[in-house]
Amino acid sequence: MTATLTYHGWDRRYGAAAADEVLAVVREVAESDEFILKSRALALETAIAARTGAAHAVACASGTGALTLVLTALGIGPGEEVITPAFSFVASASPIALVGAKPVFADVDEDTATLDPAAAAAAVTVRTRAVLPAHLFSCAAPMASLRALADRHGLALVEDSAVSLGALVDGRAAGRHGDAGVFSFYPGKPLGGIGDGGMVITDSEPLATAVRMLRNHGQDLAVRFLHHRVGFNCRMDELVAGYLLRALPRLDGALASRRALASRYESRLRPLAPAVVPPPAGFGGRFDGRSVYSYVVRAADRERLRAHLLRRGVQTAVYYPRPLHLQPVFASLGYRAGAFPVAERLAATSLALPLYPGLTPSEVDRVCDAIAEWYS
Amino acid sequence: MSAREPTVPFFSGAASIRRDWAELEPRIREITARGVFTCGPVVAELEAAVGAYTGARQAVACNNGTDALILTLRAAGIGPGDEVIVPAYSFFASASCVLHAGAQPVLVDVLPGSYAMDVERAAAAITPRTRAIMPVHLFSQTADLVALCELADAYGLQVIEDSAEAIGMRVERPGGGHRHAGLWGRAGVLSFFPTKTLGALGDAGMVLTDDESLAAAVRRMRVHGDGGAYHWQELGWNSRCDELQAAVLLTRLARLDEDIARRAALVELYNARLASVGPAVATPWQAPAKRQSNLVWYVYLIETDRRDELVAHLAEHGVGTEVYYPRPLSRQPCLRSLPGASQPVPVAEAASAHAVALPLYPDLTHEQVDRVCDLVAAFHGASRGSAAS
Repeated sequence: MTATLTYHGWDRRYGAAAADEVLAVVREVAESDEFILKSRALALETAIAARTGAAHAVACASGTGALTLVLTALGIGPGEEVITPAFSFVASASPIALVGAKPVFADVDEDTATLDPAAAAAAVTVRTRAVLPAHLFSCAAPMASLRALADRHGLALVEDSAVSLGALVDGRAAGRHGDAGVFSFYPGKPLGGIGDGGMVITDSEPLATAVRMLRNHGQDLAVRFLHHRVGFNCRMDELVAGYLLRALPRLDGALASRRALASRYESRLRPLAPAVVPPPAGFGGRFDGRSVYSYVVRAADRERLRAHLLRRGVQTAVYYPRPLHLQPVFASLGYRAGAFPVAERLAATSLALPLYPGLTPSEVDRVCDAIAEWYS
Repeated sequence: MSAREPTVPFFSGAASIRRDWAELEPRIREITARGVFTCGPVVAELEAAVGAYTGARQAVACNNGTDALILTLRAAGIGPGDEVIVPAYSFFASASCVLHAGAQPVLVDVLPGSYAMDVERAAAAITPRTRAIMPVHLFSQTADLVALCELADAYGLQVIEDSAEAIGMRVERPGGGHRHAGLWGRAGVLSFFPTKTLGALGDAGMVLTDDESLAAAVRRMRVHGDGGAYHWQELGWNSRCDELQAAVLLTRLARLDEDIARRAALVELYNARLASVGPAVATPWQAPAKRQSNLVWYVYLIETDRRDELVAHLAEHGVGTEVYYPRPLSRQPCLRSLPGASQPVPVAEAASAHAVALPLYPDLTHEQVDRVCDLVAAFHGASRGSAAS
């Protein structure tokens, strides 16, 4: 009986050497008496700005927080609409509702599972203020088309690039295609922290300044306890920043090992199509194959395949079992089943396979063998 | 300041971490081996431990004290069209949390000495739209929770406590026994901001309540409203507590009562030394009203007429201070347009002009307290007082 292969493999992501590194960061931060948004967060902002080429990088508490800060800084609120994909993680849509605006869903492209520009265009109304596409799993949204759409209608473009740090989209750093982009440093991400963290990048100085103010209770950037705006507590801890500074030089290596694992999946699973459909070749092309986050396949008999894999000791995950427009949280928006057929089909068929640095090629083979067995 | 003068930072916790390191290190190794860094078993252990310490049936950790307040208000069903009565003298989050829930804060003046919500002012501010009263417990003691709960009961209002600073504060119950701050109404919160009586090495917070359904809603909302397996039930965001912060807090919680006693001893030293400065410096109010809590010294706050000059003098000599708070909430630029923000709040105004917090934390030494007091005395031109050991 082989051991169960867990989906996340958390206990294999950080080894004994990592413990020494984490201990060193904790001790160093404690000795410095600098805890929140101090020298390490500033250094990380500088490093991420340099890496992406963005004029400004602003560290905050999470990727979700980053999106909420950007929408607030853009002045988006009640009575206004923001167009976002019907198939994504909830945080592509919830910040829109949190700032009091209305998420307007649009269907996604079948291959890449990212916002379909034609569907987005059809969703524009006089109340639309912004378009908020998300790069999902390992595919990039079509930013050039969406930029053109936003420009045509005078809309803001906010790039949910939470999963895409280190990737290029059509040759330009992910996160730099809209008015602002965001990154998440959730521990599962390619550059994962030792706690939650996020970042806003933008070339707009007024937007960056507004986000800096809003992340710390709307306080004046120089005068403590003087609050210009109703801001949030959405700050990055020095512990997280200190670790990320050490881990950032390893990002390209982490992305390369994810790519190698994804290639192995691709070569083993492609022959099984269309029973099981791997992600599009080259992940749709726009990322130039540089960014691999989750490896999500599609299978018409997803639930039975999933049960079979579990019997073979392979855990999987379902991203996401229900599209956003049919989630209870958005029930009041009044969408019905059938509104976004692609999103609904993806929700019924998508299955995420284990993929993380430290997963071995033979474990990928084990997953693929079990899938092949099911379809033999 | 001259290079030879020893500095006294407003806060330092480095010595405490060195003291606790032998306990902290294995916890950190376990977390790293497990590879789970947010809302894992250490956070659950912290929730159980704080629940046991405070007597709360439910303790739900989150990213920070401000989020704890917003999550609580939202989980309590407070939103658009509702009013929440909040003291005009507090940290900004006491008012912003109400706005983030979609409701209106109604600011009322505080009492001198305790800096806590004036119960009569709160009563006068009740309207048909009032849904909750949110007392704030500042610096060293609670508001008059017995009176505020009676008032809330009389009008069918909820009490939600901004008990962010109040760990360790307990209030005598009318029927006997004590109840911890945060548990007098529907729910309360704790902040574990690094300088707090129980402080982390970054942001962390907690909701305290005996209300199971409110706690369950907060647990969902802190992870995007997830009811399980990516079925999102209600509007939430990411407000998880990090495992590493929970490990620090668990380690420190075991020594919290010692730390509270250490703070009290330092306060006695301050009081004794500053008494000799004379009437120019008002030391903190010492006698809690009958129905307020025991004293837990999170902040040592003095009042003095020449506050800003004193702050500058101390800074010049390497002593850190904080002005809690330089203006009433009703005079914050982003709150001026609130209905009722033009109402006078003379007690809050006076405190805003005169109050300043001196360094107070377990790692502070007697020599450092002496140094601060010497500088305060010198500034006021008083005799230097007796030299403590």
